[in-house]
Amino acid sequence: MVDYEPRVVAMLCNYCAYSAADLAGVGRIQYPTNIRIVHYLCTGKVEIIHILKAFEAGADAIFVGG
Amino acid sequence: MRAAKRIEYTKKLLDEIGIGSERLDFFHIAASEAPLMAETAKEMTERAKKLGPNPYRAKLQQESKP
Amino acid sequence: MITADRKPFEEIKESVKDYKKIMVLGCETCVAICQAGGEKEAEILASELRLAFGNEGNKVEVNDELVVRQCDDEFMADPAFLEKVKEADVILSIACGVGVQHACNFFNRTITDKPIRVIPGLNTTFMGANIDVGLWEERCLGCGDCVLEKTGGICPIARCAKSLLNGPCGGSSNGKCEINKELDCAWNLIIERLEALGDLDRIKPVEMYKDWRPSHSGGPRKRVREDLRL
Repeated sequence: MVDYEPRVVAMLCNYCAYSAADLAGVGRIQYPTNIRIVHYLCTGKVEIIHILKAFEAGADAIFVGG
Repeated sequence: MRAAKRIEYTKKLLDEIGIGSERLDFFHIAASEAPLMAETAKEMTERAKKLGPNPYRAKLQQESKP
Repeated sequence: MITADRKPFEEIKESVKDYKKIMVLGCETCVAICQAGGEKEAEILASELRLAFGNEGNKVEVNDELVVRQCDDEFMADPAFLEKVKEADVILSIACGVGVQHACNFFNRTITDKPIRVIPGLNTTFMGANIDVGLWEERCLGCGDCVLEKTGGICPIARCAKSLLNGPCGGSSNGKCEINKELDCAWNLIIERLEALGDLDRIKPVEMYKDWRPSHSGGPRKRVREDLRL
């Protein structure tokens, strides 16, 4: 597939990875625009069904950061 | 950590249903690690590119084409 | 509570592969507590089936529903719910064995214009207690003739591998069972408990034999409360 741009879902903890992503923005560190961030208050709340539903909705990869 | 364990379990489910466990991962990213966050986003996007589209999405798209 | 384990995904998938409209039916009582067949598990299984069949290009509709108890008529009698049951090709019940049988019986009793197929998604294991987070242990066999008053609240029927009634067998060593070294010897536990209670003389009288007729040995059991019957 030529026009394949992956959709990557990032499930991020408010206090760690989300802040890191924020900081990356402030520090102008480049990262791919393919990622869609889902903001969690804690990655402990990431449920299996959230991950499966994301795949059903067409995500190509998912990472959880905490 | 709860999220890490849950992700491990979900990876097993993904293998069973033919999505593939490589499409999901867990990363420890502290609030100060903006470069690591960007690196992780890059890595997962690369991985998604290498793996190709989510097979479920690919099938759906095929069907919607006339 | 009754505990259960989910069947391997491959087995479930194989059992529903011929149907186009599947309803995953969760049960909110025992199996929800032991995280095998509750709301979350029904959602997860439905999503897994959609993804797995979708991957193979097999267009299947999978929905999930939940009832409070599949072992009781009154929680399944809702007409809107029964309509959905009727529309499905197969009901994949993730209740215990009791729930699967009762749901099947109830649906086929209530819905008369079409036979309803109900198949299990779980393997029912035992009657047990939630010992710790994510840990369950068998505690009762339902023998129909409780002896716990004599044994310090520890059941020799369910927890002794041989269901002995008069003290440990020769295989008991250092408080462990000879069947499995990780298993506590039930009689060791009983004697320790009775000693602590100062009730050791309770197990002095020799138990002759156990009457197994009130247990499953007498065939499927029935319980009737005449005063509750209409």
